[in-house]
Amino acid sequence: MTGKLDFEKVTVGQELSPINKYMTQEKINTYISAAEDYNPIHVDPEYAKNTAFKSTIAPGYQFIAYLSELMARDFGEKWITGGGMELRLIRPVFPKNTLTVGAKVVEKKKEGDSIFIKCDVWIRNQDGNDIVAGYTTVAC
Amino acid sequence: MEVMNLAEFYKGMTFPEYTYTLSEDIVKNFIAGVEETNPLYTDEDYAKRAGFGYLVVPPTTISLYVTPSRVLKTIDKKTPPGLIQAGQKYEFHRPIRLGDTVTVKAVVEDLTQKKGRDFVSIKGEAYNPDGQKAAVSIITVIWPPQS
Repeated sequence: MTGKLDFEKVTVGQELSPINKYMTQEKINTYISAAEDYNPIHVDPEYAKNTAFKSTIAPGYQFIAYLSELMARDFGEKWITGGGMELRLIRPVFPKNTLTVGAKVVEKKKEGDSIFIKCDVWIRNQDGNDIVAGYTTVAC
Repeated sequence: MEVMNLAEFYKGMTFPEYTYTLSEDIVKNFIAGVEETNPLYTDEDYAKRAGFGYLVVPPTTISLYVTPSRVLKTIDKKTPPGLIQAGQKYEFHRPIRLGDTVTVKAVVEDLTQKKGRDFVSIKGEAYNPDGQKAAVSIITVIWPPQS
């Protein structure tokens, strides 16, 4: 077991240690080079200027990955073999945004030989506004 | 390739299966782009101790290959510019080994309209080289207005 949490000792109401991230256009470009998904809204500042956002925005799946990082940090390989996530994307992430990635345990129950843990999760920007909200589940 | 028109979608629409290889270079860029630090994905000894026996890829790498543009490419279509992601669901079942080629089965999961906006949800199931379901991604996007 490589996760940091002791699943037996996890309690409902417990907040997981947050992660902080800083978005840049360079990070967006690096992600896009892996995804090969050249939507101009992410990579073309001239195009993006004429959109409602007036700027490029980060791809949703890029910052959603931060939540997976948090879950894998605390649930280890159990996240990879029994994790789930359902999210709403509420606001865009712009270059130079600072993000806080958080989670709180809202349910814990025994399911056969496993422990089922559900967390409310969120990503907030530097103004405290929700960027992403939803929940994760993991069978430990 | 022609741009896909929203009217061409229907709920339950399936796409030809396609494959995707999670090469070292691609995963390296993904890890750099999301600043992932977990040694499960980069430290072979650590991954062995974790029980996998080999380096695995971050599970949300499924979002590299279950995207509207990759799915539409199977029918020689492309997405219009300005697509915005509005929702995401994942299920992770099995680790995917670094370097593995996965097979993807994709379907239009849902088509909805809210507040004058059109939403398209595409579900992609990724199968490992042994034919086992490794992960599922359902991405929902706001489809931009088309003339």
